[in-house]
Amino acid sequence: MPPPELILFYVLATGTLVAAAVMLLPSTGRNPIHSAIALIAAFFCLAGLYAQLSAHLLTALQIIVYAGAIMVLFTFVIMLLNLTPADMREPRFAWWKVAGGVLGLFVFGKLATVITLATGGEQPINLADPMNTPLGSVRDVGRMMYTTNLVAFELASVLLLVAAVGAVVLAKKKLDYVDAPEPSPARTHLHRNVPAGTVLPHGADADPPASHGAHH
Amino acid sequence: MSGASPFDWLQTLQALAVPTLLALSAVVLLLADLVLPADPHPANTGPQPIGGRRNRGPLSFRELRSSIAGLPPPTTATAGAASVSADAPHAAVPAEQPAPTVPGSWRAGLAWIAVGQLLVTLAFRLLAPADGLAAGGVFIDDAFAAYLQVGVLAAGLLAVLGLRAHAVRHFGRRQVELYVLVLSSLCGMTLLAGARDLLLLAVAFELMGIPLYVLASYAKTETGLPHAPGTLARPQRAPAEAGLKLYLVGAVSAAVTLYGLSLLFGLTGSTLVARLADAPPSPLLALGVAFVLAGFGFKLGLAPFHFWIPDTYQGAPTPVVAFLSVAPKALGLAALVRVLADGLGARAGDWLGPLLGLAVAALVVGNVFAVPQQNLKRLMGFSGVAQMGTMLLGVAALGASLAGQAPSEAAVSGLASLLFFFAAYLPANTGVFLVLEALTGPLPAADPDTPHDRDTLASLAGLHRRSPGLALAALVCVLSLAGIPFAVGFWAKLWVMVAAWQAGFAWLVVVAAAVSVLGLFYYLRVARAMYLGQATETAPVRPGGVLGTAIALCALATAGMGLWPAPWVQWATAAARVFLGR
Repeated sequence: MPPPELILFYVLATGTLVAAAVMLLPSTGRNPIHSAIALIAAFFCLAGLYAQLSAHLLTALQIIVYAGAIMVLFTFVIMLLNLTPADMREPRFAWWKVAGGVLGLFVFGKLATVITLATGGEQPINLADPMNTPLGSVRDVGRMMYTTNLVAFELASVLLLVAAVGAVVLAKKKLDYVDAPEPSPARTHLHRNVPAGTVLPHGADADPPASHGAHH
Repeated sequence: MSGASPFDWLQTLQALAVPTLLALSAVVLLLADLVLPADPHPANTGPQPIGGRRNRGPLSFRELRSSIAGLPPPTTATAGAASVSADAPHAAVPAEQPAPTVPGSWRAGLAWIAVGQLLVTLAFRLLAPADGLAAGGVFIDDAFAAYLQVGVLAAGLLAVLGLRAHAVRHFGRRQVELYVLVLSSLCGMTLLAGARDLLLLAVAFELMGIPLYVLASYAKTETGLPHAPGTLARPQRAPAEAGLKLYLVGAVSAAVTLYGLSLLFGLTGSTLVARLADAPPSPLLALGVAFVLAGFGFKLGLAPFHFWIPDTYQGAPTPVVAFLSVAPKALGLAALVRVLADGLGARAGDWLGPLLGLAVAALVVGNVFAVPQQNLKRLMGFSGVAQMGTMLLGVAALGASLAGQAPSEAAVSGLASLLFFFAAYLPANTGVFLVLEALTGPLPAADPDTPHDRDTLASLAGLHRRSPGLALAALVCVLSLAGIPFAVGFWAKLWVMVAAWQAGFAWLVVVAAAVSVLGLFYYLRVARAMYLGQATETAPVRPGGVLGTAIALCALATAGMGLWPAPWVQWATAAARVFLGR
């Protein structure tokens, strides 16, 4: 009988892998919400793995930030894009995908070999075991964040500010009007409720599904 | 707080003065933009947009949706399509229509604030002593860091000067954010120059990179292009592609680098670079180093990881390319050197092999693929890959010396030649891009959906008749990049190759010299187009005072360093000696 931690580890690890695989499968990819739900499952299993490594803060953050906030954001994007199966391209076979898969398997094999060699061989290396030193509790993370890693922590806030500025700059196209004349009131009134995606000025994408904007 | 705090505020702030100044400058610019009114002259704003939408105020849900999905806003799209035939919106624009008033063009004045801030920071950097250490040892402010910071600040200054005219012409109200992004990217770079902690390194790398993603796709919603009345400026695909490619590559490479860094952290239990030396030799260490090298390879655009470079260069605004083609890569390389030499110097024998492979690949791929390019930006992109390969020769010399395969002078000359190469490469490369901006920047984009195919070599044809000064500046820069004797690029290349030769890599020097002949070929094609090409245009080119100043600075720096390289060589050598502790 293996120790219960090991059983729990295998359950959680299998759960993570299966959920991640389900997320990527083409059949679930048809409906993005299914993929999102699979991603939530993967996040929760990962949180369990973190808890097993006594990274308590990380467990909480994983659930609050990733399974919570990030997933809400994902769901918003999925809803806003409102893709239907007709919008999505058929997955096509390509040699570069095969080559990429082979390369990925090679890297995975290399990783597995090296980690097995390093940790389980005749001379297991001393990993200076960060797992045994208390690193994952809220207290320890807080102490490190405000002492040794304060510079990186403060820098992260600058980084977030810059990312916000960049996102606003790239997304705000409404303010870039140039010489748009006032249309006649009648025309504006007539066309106000036409679904958004039906007619684009380029005419290139002039044929999205009729349901595209009808929900709003 | 109880007990002695391990954190010395004053010392840390002193060591981090330059990045702090830059971050504060960025915030000040943002605030200045915020408190200023949208436009002091209501006449310039033009009529209000359709559908009762004001220029200010929260977006409606549908507008938000359109904005995220990259579609034109609903009401306007409908009205625009109703007034213009859908398949040829440009046909409706009369050719003699006056240039539309760009809202917010008066904000160009804020560029001078950015210039002032950069000059103050540069003066501070040159005057303040460089011997600080941030508490905890995460950042060192030594001569090596100071040298790189000066170079980076100069690059930022050139970028702001080069961007100003472009921003006024194209970016309307969004031009202040441009300088904010440049300043914050510079903040990340100045931190990278002295980062000695893996965590700080990773965050600084992202702080350098994220503004660049935005800058590269800045023209996505470019204004000022001719377009039908009642429609929005059409979304630009090439800039969006440029930014997206840079972003995806940056994100993936950041993940790869972080994975490698986490392996290294696992081996030592510390994020300090210096503690990596304590790591026992193991396959995990090799794997971590391989991941770090691959991640940096993407960011630096080294050879097997270079595929994003040509498309990004082609689609991004030319002054932005002038900025992102030199300084970020040089600083990335400096950070890599810090990790490899400071942390893994004792294991130099292990990383030397992969590094040599990367150098050869970058040299060969960059030079060979640059030859057939017709677009000057793509040509410069591939040639930049080759220049990075040349810089890696200096790192190889350093590594051979650290591994004990070469005399210890090889380490100093390898690192110093690398630093000198950066100083030589910076003004020359920036100058070429700025000349291109002076030439093709004022032209309207031919078709927003196709990449800017106006930046071709043919567009340079007959430049010396249209503007002798611009042609001369470009010639100086191109000759330096090609490594023609007595240009500064020649001294830099020579020094790097001598260092590699001293370190015992004669074969590598032979390879580098052989592919440099190709470099000579394609760089001289640029010169030939300018001086011998038949001009299709004859109108004189006037870059304007600010851009002209930036170009003149680039050309003068290149020519001056070529004629009088001694002080720069001494400066680079001193910085390298301090870094190596010799």
